[in-house]
Amino acid sequence: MWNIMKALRYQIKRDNYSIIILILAFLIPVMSLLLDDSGVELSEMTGSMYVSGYVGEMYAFVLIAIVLLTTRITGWDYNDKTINYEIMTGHSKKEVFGARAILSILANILVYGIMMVLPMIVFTIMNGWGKSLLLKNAVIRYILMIFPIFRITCIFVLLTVIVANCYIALVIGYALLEGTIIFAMIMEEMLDKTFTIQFAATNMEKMLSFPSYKTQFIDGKDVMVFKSAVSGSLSGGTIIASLIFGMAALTIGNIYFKQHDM
Amino acid sequence: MSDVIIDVYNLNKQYMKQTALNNVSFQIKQGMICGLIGPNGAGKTTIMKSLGGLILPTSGQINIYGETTQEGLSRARSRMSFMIETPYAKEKMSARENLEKQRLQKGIPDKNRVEEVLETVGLSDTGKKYVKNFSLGMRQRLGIANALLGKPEIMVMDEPINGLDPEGIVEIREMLLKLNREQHITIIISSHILSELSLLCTDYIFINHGQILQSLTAEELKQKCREYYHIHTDNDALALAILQEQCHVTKYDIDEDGSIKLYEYLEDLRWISSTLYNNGVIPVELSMNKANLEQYYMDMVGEEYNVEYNESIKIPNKKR
Repeated sequence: MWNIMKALRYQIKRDNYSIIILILAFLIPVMSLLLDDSGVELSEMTGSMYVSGYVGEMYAFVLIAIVLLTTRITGWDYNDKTINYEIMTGHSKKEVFGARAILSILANILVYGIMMVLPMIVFTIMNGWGKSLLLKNAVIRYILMIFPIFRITCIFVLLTVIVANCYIALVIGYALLEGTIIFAMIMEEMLDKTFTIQFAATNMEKMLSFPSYKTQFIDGKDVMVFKSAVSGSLSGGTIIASLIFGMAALTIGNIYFKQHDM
Repeated sequence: MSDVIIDVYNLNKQYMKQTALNNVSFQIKQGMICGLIGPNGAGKTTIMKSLGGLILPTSGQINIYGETTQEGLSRARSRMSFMIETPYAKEKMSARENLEKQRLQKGIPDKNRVEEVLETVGLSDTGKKYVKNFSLGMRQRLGIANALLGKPEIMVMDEPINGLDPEGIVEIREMLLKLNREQHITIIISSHILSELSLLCTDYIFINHGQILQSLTAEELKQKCREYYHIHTDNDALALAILQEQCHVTKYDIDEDGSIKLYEYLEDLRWISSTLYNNGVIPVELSMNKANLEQYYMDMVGEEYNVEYNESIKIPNKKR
């Protein structure tokens, strides 16, 4: 499996499509900061200000990147049948499937890091962490974010393996993603209740949104201090739902891949 | 037998209501160059894909180097290489990059191996040219280079010379023969260019409608394809009796329609015909035939074939 991952990594490094996604992952946070009209000076932005004010908007782009990258990494070799070489070389189908799933998860975590974690680190280095959020709570939320990324990646790996075409999987995947978001919004509207649908893409937004805040006078300045503690239901539900759905998708995908003719 | 390295037994593959393979059984011995021969849709590629693990048989057993389980067969496949259908490649990568990816995937530590195989198939000067700009022949060469990359013990090749120019066909043939001769690589090959296969193969498997029609060695084929007179008269039984009695023929076959295939007295066509004629038997057709692989194949799969190799002497019916 390690050899397949090395070969896939070699291939991704030569794939303009994947490289463009990674460049955009870097440019999108930069552009969103440059185009921001909230009046916050970038030279004064702290790490906690960035997390509380900008990261929540970034999740939609992370989701798109996940769909684009996962379908590409998992499905590109289906389109030109080069995946067949891996099986004919003697790799088991479990290894062929596993290598793609692992690499997709790692690539998506990398994109997540570029889009959400890297700017936070940069602003923290420049201006310190600040007072808007408790660092501990932000770290917990960032770590928790990995679980829905894992879940969504696994679901798209499954979808791509079933469709066996990266472009068709991309279209269906994006429609599914939007579908779950719309479904979650409609349900919240109908029930007139804000709740966390752990298996929906909105779960990620809730993880990095901070709707409750108060203004405090700290060190001679008015500072917006956000309520950042993660509720037990949100964190527990996110972890459990992500692991169950993610593992189920991988198991189904592996079984399907094993039993399906190439 | 100890030198049998592939043993396929009662292999079946069903797609919905369509039978792709029907109780296919054959053995491949070490050092063979085995030609899989059959029309399109006969099941050749399905057999090759089954060996490569790309499709799961509905029933039956594949034994490669004594391995029969999925895990075992995967291990055995690491000693093989496959080139099935058109060579698979990344269109927007060069030949070198495609092979480097395969080198990494196969876990080949020797980084120079890519250059070696590119040199072997004559693609070393393609530089950064994308595969999408390759001709069919260049793609075939790339596929062969990929098959050679891992120094396999068995090569399974589906139409490897398809699209190659005559010079390329000769080069590939010589290369395969050299690999077989010097490195004792076993080769399973299919091609529609039967004249080429006849220059390569030590064994043949004829297949049609998912069934093996016949397996035979090149020597056996040569025997079956030897020169003969085809004698068809107004009374074939009497003609045979005359030939046995007066010409003392012993080497002959009787066709389904009763006509005679005579394998001796090939230089004496005039004598044979005059003997028959003088005994009141009227030859309807008397021809000298030399079957080759193509002709043999066409006879076997039962299709109409223009026998251009047949130096036929048609004798018109004589009015009594």
